[in-house]
Amino acid sequence: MTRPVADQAARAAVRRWVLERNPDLPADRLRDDTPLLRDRLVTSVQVLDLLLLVESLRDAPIDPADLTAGSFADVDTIARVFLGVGR
Amino acid sequence: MTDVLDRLCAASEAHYSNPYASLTWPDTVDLDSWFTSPELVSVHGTAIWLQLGPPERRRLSFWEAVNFFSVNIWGERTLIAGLADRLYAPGLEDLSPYLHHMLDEENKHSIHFGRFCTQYAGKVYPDRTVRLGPDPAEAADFLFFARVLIFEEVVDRLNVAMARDPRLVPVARWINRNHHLEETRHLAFGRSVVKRLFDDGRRRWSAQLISDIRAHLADYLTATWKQLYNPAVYRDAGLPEPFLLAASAYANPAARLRRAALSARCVRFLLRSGILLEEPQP
Repeated sequence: MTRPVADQAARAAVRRWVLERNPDLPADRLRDDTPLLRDRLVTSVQVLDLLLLVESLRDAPIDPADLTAGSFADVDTIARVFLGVGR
Repeated sequence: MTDVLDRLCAASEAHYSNPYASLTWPDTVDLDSWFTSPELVSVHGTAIWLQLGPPERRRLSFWEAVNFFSVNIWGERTLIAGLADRLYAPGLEDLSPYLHHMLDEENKHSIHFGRFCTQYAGKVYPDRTVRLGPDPAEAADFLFFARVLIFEEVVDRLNVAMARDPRLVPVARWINRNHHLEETRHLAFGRSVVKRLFDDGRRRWSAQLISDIRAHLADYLTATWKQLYNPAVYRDAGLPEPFLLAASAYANPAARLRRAALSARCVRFLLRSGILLEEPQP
């Protein structure tokens, strides 16, 4: 089943953000289930930036009290938890 | 380092203060006033700043101050927890007399920051930082004190500038000035302890760990600054598209130059002490 355009656009924006911060990572190696934290593609101090990107994509604030490390596990999780899209 | 600690403890004892008696708080503040120096407002120099009239700029400066003080509250909460964890800890016993003073003084600063935010804004902005895991055990003390130093260096430069600014309302100016006076001692302590822990640690840390530490601290400097570009501030000030504005304001060349200038003292210390090898671009 084809995902909605907004879903694809949001995922693409998150993937682009990750690739910009990891210039040595080939784009085809970053899948939506690639572990971002375990593979150290996102560090704790970069999460603030990622949070801002996700807030921009959904155009609504995220309550920091709701955040856990697991919320940023991979692109799929970010899309599901924060953007209300995905599988 | 013993001489430094003795001197700092003596100074803290001489300047011991009652945080409830040190300032007369006005019941209300006039929002058509400056609370943050206009040149230090996060969007200063951007297109949106040019579009705002003087009253809108002053109102934005109020919410920027609430955010600055909120960021200080969360930074000091982390600091207080880390200092308490290290009281009389093995290997850090000699620091404990001064850690008691820092705990006391940081708590008092948070009383001032918290009162300003709750009394005049009715809220403290939430902490936007997220910790994904613990520090490597062998470098945990160093990383803690290094992050504290970076945070305090950045906020101190802002405190100094705003303490001197006669345009600010007296209560905002006083909070900045008082924070700076005590942070001067904390910064002297921080530089000494960070250098000592780095010089000790680098003898046993792997090359990979040292590389990771350098990347982490450069990122931390950037993250510290990014907290001062808060979309909630722009929303409260009535500015459009607050999330996009936070990103564009941060990327603005004028803001980049401002951050570089205000980070220069901190970066100089990190480079001179060998903690960083390259100048970060916050």
